[in-house]
Amino acid sequence: MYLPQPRQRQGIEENILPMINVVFLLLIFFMIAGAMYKQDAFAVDPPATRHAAEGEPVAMVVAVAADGRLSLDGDLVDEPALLARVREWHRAHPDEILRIKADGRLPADDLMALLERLRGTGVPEVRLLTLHEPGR
Amino acid sequence: MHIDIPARRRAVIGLTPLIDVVFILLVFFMLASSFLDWRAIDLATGTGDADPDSPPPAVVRVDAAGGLHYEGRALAPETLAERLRARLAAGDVSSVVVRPGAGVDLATAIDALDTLTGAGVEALALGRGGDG
Repeated sequence: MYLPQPRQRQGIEENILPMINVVFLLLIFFMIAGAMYKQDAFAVDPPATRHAAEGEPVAMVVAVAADGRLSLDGDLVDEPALLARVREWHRAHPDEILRIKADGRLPADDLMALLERLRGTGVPEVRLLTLHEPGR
Repeated sequence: MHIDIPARRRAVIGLTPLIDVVFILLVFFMLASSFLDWRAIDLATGTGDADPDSPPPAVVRVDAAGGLHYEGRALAPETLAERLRARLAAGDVSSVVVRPGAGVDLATAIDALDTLTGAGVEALALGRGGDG
């Protein structure tokens, strides 16, 4: 029986082209589909909701850790510094909304106390960030 | 005079550096981008001046286990939501305030708020202090 000898490959470039195609597609997918946000200074596990409206962690984001540590746009800050910076920011951008990303294990009263102190900086309303949890 | 005309050569662009750069970009975007589905709840930072003529808000207390209490009785979320909707529609209460008890974590409180939102209760707010 005669079997044709497989053709000798034309160098490495020819079989690497499909791989480049796939890698390019993956690159474009991650560039377009993924979103990039500023990282917090610590890990935050936000509460889950099913019925909340859309929201994005952009502009001013105050992160609150489970042990009460605070971070503002990625910088670890203490509370007087946080309140001072929020007051300054709110004066400069009175129409923008302050977003809070709080850990789900934080006592709810601690967050409410923080909100009351934030009221002192003139911020009337904040947006609490949660993660969508489809059906349970 | 004799001038050597350089032989025209096909430009050879090496594939290897291109692949290196594309791989680095790919790894960067894979690690840096996030696919979390963010949502948001609007919270007032404090209570405004209450209008003395408006009816008082209904206060729903949340205990550490996530149980909901209204007017001193523990109620199932559906029963409670139905009652609150009826009272809001009748104008007996102006709004509903969810008050987490001492030591209740935020996830439990937000879950209670979210359950009531899902059951169609409007004018919800998260309030402070509530001992169960």
